[in-house]
Amino acid sequence: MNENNNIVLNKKRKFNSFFDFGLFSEGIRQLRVAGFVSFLLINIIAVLIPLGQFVSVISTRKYAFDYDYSEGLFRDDLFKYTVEFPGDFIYMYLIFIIVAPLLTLVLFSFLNKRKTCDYYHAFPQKRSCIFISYTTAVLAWIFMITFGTALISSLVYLCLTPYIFISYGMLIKFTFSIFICALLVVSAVAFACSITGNLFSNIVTSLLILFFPRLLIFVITACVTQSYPLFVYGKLLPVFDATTNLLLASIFDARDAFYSLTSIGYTVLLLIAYFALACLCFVKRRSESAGYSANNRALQFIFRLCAGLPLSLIVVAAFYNMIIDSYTPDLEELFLIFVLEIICIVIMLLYELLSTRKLKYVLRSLITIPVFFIAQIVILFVAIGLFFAEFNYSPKAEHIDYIVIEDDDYDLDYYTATLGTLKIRNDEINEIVARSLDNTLQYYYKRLAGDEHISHSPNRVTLGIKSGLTVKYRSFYMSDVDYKRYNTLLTESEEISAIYSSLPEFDPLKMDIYGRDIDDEATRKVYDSLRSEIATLEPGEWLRIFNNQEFSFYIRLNAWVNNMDTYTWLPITGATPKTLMMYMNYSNDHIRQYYGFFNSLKNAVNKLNQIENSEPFEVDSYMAWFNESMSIEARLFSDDYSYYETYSYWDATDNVEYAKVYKEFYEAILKSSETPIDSLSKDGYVLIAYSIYNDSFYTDCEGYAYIPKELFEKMEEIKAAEDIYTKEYYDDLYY
Amino acid sequence: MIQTKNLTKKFEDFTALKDVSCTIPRGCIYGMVGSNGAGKSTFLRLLTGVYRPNSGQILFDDEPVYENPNVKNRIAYVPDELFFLQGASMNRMAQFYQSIYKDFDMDRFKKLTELFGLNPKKFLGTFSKGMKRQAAIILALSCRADYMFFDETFDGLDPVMRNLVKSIICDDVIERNATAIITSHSLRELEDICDQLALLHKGGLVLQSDIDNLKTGRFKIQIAFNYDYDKELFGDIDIHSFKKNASVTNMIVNGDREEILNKLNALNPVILEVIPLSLEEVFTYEMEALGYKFDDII
Repeated sequence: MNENNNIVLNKKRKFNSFFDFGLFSEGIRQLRVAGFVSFLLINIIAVLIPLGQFVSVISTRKYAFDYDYSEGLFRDDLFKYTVEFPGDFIYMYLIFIIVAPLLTLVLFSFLNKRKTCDYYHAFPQKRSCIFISYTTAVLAWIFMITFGTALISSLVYLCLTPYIFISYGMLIKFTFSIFICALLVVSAVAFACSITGNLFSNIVTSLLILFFPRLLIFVITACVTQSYPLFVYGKLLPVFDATTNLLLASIFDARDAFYSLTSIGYTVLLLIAYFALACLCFVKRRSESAGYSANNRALQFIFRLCAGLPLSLIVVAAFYNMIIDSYTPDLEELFLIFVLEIICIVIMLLYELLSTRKLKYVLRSLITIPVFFIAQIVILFVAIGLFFAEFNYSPKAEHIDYIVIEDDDYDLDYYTATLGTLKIRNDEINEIVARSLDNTLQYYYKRLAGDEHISHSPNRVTLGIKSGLTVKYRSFYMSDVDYKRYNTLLTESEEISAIYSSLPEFDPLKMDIYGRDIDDEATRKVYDSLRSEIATLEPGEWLRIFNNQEFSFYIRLNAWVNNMDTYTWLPITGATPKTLMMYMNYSNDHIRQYYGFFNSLKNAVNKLNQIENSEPFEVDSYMAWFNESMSIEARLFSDDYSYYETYSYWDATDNVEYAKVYKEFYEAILKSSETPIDSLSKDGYVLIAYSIYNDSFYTDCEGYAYIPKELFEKMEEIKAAEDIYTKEYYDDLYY
Repeated sequence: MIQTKNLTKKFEDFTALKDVSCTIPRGCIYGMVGSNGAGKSTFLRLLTGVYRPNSGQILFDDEPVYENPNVKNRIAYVPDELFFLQGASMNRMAQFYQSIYKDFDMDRFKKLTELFGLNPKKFLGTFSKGMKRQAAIILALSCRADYMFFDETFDGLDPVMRNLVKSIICDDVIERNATAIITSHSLRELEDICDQLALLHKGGLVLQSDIDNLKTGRFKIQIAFNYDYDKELFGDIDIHSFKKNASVTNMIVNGDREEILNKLNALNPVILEVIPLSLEEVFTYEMEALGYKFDDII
């Protein structure tokens, strides 16, 4: 007996309720084929893409080299490719679209057959332990594939550093977001597997868990916010914003979400909730439900209903609009609604047939139809209820915490978008807002009551109003007096002035800068210079320059601000001379490096000098060089150097003396190119922007040079003289 | 010891087991017989902790089994429908078992594999039905469990293998005081190995008894006299069945054998013969006493 007790005691060891390394290892082993194949396929893409970019860079450089070499020139091409996120790493989406659900379905497939399910439930581990150990195995594979791919990709890009630029910081953040998305998918699929018992139901239920709640919220939000101009489309409650869910953000290409703590945090909370529910259902699940489409009839009912509801939301939206807009649909619309309803019912019955494979269950499931209609009515009433609750929102001034400016223009620049992040706290503004919103509501009430003669002020503003827990966005009208006062208060606001007096520090995660005719590194330096010079300007000066849309020099700032893409043209003028001169010098460097322009111009000048100095002077040969495709453009600046004031153009000539002046012009450009431009004015000289076109050399961008004033005046005289020549004259002369 | 008290299990509208109460002592080989759908597999799955009962209790040494790893670790179960990992060999399955069952004995696994003449490296998918069953038995026996449950395991085994498996089970029971529960359709299959037998019918436990008691407590007598007689001649002897044909009577009697024989000898019979009953015959008579027709059940 004692021996038996000892045996019992030895067997009675402490079992972990949560994790068993043996099960975990077994899970890893069972997934090794699917895991390795996934890893391999994704990493083949991960290697091929940078190699493809490398080949593209090499081809571009070689093309440029070949082109210039044939002209007797050589240029040192510094073209580098900059990796974009998510574009160049879009293949990593495969991890959460295919790999995550595949691995989860494979490992939890034992739940779909009686004999395997019974077998696993006979294991001497708690069910929670089986679930957690196996889930951890899936997560381990996801981790290895995700971060392994990022590592391999990094190593390849490291080897290609001379040709390709990549931000490793961005790569790490992006990879982490992909991992979170994959975890969310794993949690949803595991949850689905815990409450269903065959593959078809696993997949359909996973999709419903991942997308149906958001779809429902999206439709309700869209219905409410599109129904009246009072609302701002898509802005109802913060959590209703689709991009808070990282998975949906990837689908909607909301870049900011990938690096947003709010989105990441929300997604993590959601996946934890799904995992918790999945574990609970896994533990509660009866082994005998394996092979059935759901654990019990109630769940099967819910799945069936949810299978038909997504499409029916179109009908709900249609009825919503009918009720809110008080219009009677015509026969055609009614027929379409009828057809949609039939399709939804067919989908539900089809789901029942495919998931249960029993016709008698399909007949039994007809009971779902009345519930389906009731569910649609409930959703409709929720939407209508939400509409009226939101519609009547009219806080008193003393209850308003702050306002945020919302611009519903899709084409926003950095400043208007940044204003949307500012919380403006001003009692007088609050009063204006409360009064205007109330007046707008009164206007709508009267319109709803049938008063069609009432009108509103043309001054429309769109604001977010914080009173209570959330910010509510409204678009409403202000009287002329209020509007003027409102704008004055905004302009006088120190915070707004501060925004319009500066530029943000460059953040590669959220910004791109483009300079016309200069490379990325140069553009970055120009931006930094502009930023520091703006800070020294008088208050309001930069805003004045910015709002004056007439400028010739600029860099373009693409920035992701307040969950929006913004495009901002930043003018470079004489008000920021250091930046303007830097820009000019970089442009000159650009045509020097990328086009070998000055070398080709020098060769042209040498050729001309050679002909000119030779005995006898061969005029024909000299003039042949100036064929009809040659032309010169030059521009002079406005006083504040913000735009070009004059434009001059010289075409080919048959006058030797003129050609000699052109040659002097080229020599002046060459001489100017030897030193950087270090001031915007020089005695006896004019600062010009020029372009020169010729069969031998070609610039598609501008250069900047100091030309002696007398020489420029001569060129102006030639221009006046050359105007007498017609194209027919040229044709006769040369052909 | 395994105890079940008023164990009931339902699958939707169907009651698979109803109020099953039994006690299975340690060191016992417990046979359970019943027709298809009687509830044998359900009973074993409940004991293994796969199913949760709708009502009633299952206790292993006073501990419940459901979601109790300490108890489940002491159980090895060979189900009627076998499961192996896809593409696995016996070695792979042994590896799987080793990660699940902490007391899995790899040496024993190797020895048994050799004893049964199976190739552990070959894919199980290429095994015959009988060989798969042998593989499952080997894996279960290698777990060194205190409780071994075999659900219609001997079906599909040839007589030689059947005897081999029975002898190994018996050795385990004797050496380690293990308990085995074996279910089958056939009483003959269980007769020579089980200590106790139970009969399940339509979810209910109809009969449960020690085999020795069954066999020794009841026996068949063939007796003949050279004088006329009837049943009253035998007075206080507990007669279960009495069939007289001319002067020869076949009767099933209950009671102490020696005592009954002495009494019968005292009546000066011409023929007096004791014929041992087969288990099936014992069961038949027991069932009839309970009001069941045995042939309708098995």
